[in-house]
Amino acid sequence: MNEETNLEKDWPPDPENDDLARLAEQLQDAAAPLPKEALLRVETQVHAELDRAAWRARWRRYALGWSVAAAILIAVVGYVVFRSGQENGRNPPLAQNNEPVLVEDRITIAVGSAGQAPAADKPLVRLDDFRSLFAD
Amino acid sequence: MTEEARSRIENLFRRYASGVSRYALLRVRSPELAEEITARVFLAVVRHIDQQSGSLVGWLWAIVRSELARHYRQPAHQAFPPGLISTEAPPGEDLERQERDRLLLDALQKLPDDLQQLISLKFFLNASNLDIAAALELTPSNVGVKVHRALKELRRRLEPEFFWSES
Repeated sequence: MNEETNLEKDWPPDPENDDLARLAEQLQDAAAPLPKEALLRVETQVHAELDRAAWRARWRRYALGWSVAAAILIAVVGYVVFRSGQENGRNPPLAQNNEPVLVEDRITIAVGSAGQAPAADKPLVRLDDFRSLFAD
Repeated sequence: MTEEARSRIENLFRRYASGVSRYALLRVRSPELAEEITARVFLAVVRHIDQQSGSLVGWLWAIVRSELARHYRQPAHQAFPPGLISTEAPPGEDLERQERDRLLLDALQKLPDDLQQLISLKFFLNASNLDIAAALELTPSNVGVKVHRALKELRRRLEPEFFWSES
């Protein structure tokens, strides 16, 4: 007799034990089993629910994986955009010294020689050459 | 759901589905309702296995009690749809046996809750003393002593009517 079917396991010695064992058997008999077909129908439902639960768990794992990947992608893109924006909008460093800066420049000029005729002696327009233009 | 959880549920079903259905049938006296309650119990097991901790049998037993309580909380017209409950004795069961079972169940329901649980786990669910000990936080040897005490108490409450009807 195995442990599961031994109704009297660990009972203390008692003259009433035989009667009690009979009562225990009657208790077991009072609970009639369901027909096998009924239990098979229940088993089918349980297996269907197990399959659904496994599918849901798998879907949750995929969703979690995709969420993590999307979060990483968003973080990377966000970082890149932030950095490039920071570099473009960076102001030139302000001058630390506000004193005026001395600027030096040199210009070379040519001075005409003493023998050259002054510009006033030379006619600006040679009217004699283009007299026809003024003939009416 | 992990393969390990699935395997645990399948083992639990193989081991206790018959006992749960027997206990449900004893309580509701309708094979159809007992089947429905048994299904609800194991569907709840599947849906909430990730919340289970401690004794598996104790947890299962809590679900059984909860589903039966839910059944009794339903309005009578829902709990017992017309024509669903068999008013005839199951095949092979005579009136005398029906009466004896009714007396047993009545006496059992008048026992203190802890003794009712012990007897139900031991004789209806066919749980081992080890499983009962884990479920009720007792030592395995203490389970035997308490079952013995519960049976004596049940016998005392059944007398003399039960043993008169038995003869």
